[in-house]
Amino acid sequence: MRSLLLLVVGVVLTSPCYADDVWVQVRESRVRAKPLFYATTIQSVKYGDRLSKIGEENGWVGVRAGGREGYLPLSAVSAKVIVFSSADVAKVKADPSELVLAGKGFSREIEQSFKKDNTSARFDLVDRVEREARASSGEVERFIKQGGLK
Amino acid sequence: MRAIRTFSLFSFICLVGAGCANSALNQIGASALASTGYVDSQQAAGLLSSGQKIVASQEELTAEQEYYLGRAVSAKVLSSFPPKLDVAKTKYLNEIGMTLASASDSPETFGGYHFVVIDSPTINAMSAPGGFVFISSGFVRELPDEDSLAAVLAHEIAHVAHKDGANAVSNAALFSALSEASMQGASIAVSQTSGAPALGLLTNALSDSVEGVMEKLLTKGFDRSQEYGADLYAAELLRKAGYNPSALVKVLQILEAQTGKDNAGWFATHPAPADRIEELQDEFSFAEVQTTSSARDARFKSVMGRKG
Repeated sequence: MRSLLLLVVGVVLTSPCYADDVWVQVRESRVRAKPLFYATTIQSVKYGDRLSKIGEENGWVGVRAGGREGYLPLSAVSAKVIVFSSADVAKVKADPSELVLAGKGFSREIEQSFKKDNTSARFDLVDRVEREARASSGEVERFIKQGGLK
Repeated sequence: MRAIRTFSLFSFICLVGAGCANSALNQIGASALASTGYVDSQQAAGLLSSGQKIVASQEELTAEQEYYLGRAVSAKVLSSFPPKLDVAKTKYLNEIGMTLASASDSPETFGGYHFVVIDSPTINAMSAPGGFVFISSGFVRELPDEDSLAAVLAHEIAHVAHKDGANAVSNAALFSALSEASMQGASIAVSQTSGAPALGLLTNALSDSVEGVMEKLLTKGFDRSQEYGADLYAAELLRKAGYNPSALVKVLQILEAQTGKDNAGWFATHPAPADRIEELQDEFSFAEVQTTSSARDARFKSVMGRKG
């Protein structure tokens, strides 16, 4: 019994809760110098990158990245630990409710399986839309200025 | 002693079920639980398993899952309504859309926003989870200026930001399938064995979800409160981005004038335009009406090929 109590106390003291970290939950994003969408980029980040959270304000999360402090939209990050392989699940000290296993659930693999049953679904057009229907940050910034927008 | 044992059992279940327990703890959990004397090893394994199931249950789709649901819905939409990907018009549409999305509280989604004109004479616009936004060529033809076009896109961005599509299919059966798949992934990792993921289960869950979203987009529509909510959010987004929020009322008046001529598309899936105008005017203050800029007028006419 004593050993079980020690085990419980030991786990409480040693298991990190990752309370001050966030994980990038979008494919790619930018850490900005200011909490503004078109502010200067101080670092590019990608899905699953772990960042140290320093604050939160008006839909933005303040993070420390590459020795500097910057901001990401709140919608771009998750408080859950994002891991990429099921082997990593065992290594991460967090329980399943705090974990997101990237590529599981609805994923590229499930899409392939769905495609086989839905041969008329035009994923080729979705790929084309993703490639062609877009505007870069620079283009949108110019567009906003030219149109007297904010 | 009994109090200590009770405390130990309680602490242990709390750690496994809710706190920062780790996987190694889960592995040794059953035997440790059994050693408390309150449960035998079989009951302990059951307790642990239910604890894991509770904590592994998802409450909402992750950004990545929403993206793949949106891709599958879009693949279905585009099979009926092909995209019109004229380079200049597509760029223009995406510049307007991103101007609005960047002012929203969901400026970044997993795969980003994509705004597309789809080939259909019916007045219609819709969005798939994750940020795929579609507007019919028939709707675009009816819109007189950039601010009106922005108003339609803002309404669709509102549905994306509110996750109306994803929430429509977020039911217990879906999360049970996702949790089961997640548990399989975790147990394979812990036991160091290989195993097939819940492929069939998840493919069926994706099919059901796609069907559920398509039904909302094409036939049933969202609830009236969701539509009014999207209009209100759109008006606020237009103002935030520097567009004239009254453009949304203008669009609804154009629709109102069309009522009776066309019963498909937006007319079939949205509340009556007159009701939407009334609701919006009750909820949103249009007091500071901004004017449309000449630069926006000029570029709309130039890109959309309208005569001045």
